[in-house]
Amino acid sequence: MRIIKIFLPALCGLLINLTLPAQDANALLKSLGNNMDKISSFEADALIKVDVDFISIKDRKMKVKFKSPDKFTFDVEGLALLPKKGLQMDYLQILKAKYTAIDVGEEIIGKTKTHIIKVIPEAEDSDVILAQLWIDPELNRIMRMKTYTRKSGSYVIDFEYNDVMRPLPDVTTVSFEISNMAFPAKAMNEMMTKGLQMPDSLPKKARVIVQYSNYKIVNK
Amino acid sequence: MMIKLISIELFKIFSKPRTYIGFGAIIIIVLALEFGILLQGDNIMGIIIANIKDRFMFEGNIINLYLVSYVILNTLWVHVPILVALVAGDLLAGEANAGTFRLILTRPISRVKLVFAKFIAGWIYAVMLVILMAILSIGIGKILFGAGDLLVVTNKVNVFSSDDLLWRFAGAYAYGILSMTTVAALSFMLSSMADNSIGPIIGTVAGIVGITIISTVGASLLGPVNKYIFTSYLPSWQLFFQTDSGLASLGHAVLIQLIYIVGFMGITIWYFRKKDILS
Repeated sequence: MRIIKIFLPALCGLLINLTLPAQDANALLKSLGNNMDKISSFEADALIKVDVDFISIKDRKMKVKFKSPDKFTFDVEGLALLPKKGLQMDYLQILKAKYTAIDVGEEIIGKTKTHIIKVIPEAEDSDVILAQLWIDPELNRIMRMKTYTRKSGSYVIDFEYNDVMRPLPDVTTVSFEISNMAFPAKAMNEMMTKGLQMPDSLPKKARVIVQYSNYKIVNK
Repeated sequence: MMIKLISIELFKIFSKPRTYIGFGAIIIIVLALEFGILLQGDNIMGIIIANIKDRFMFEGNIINLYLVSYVILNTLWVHVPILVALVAGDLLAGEANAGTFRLILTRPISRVKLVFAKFIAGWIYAVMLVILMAILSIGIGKILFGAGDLLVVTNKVNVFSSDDLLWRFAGAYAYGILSMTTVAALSFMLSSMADNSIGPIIGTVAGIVGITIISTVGASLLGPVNKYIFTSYLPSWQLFFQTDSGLASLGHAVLIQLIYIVGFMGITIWYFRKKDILS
């Protein structure tokens, strides 16, 4: 009986310690989701800069429109290359499905102290294998996201905010790796100019910077 | 006098049914390519940009009149030389074959003037072919696909804004005219040496195709001389669609073409002035 009196509180303490990070992580993610759920729709002007070694494209302007829950439309002047991941608040998609969240620590990004949460989607057919979110617990905003996917490899998205209150970013930087052109396309050119050569297929660093302005937000 | 001579030669060119084969072929090829792209363009582009499509989504009209015109320009060095040779190869050899040189040269014109008048008439035909190709590519492309920015996949992926394209296409077509002038000059030179037009036509086509195959597949065989062969520069119009050092290389390509034109014309004049026209 005495042993139970001693060990029971200790066991409870241990269990609380183990489950607390998960509860904190879930609470943080829920706050983040709730913060975004307040938005019914928004539109903004965006400037897209593509920084890839083998892609040459001038900065493009576009109009981004969002309608809750997850409908994005992009109205671009001319032809634009947009990153497949990172422009459509991908983290909200992950958070709407079932997941397991783990708080793995803290990190300072810029001047903001963030919590790092690992999110593992539970659906077997989920494209995202693992997502790591850096969340500002004060303002419930995402500061960084690193995602590992089945189809699109891994990518990092950095979010910058100028407005203290607004949950939407002013600058989003999507970084990933990409290989140069597939053999047939490059070979056609090489054959015409220098004779057949093998293409440089080593992955290259790619960065797409999207600067948002003129936000018009409609809250629920 | 020269203008009258050129007009006469143009009249002769446009009196022959073979002249219209060229225009007919251009119309059929452009229409076939435009409708082919309309039906299968998305699939073809999907293959070409497969690995950037994994990471990027394309917003905007990829398949537009500029892309179609760019694709059609790629055929310039494949089939237009044949069509140019068909007429240019007949300019002097046709007269020799018909035995009309004796009649023509009884008029008070020099052989050099006759050579230039015939060459200019043949050149006007080549220019008309390229211009027809440009008008059809852009005109039908505008109706079927509309405008947009141009995506060019070479050793880089270049996206050109539509407002940056007119001068590039004008330059590319102008270069196309220059390279077809070289082909016409080669065919014309062979024509001066033959007594029927089949030899110069086949000779021109075989020469261009043969040298291109050897310099492409057996690049190591012709490596050192490749940069001096005019066929290496037939597709150099593509330099107008490169962002890095493309236009810097253009001067060399233009110079090589001009040297060959002058060379072929020099040989033609030298040979034709000595040519026996009594037979």
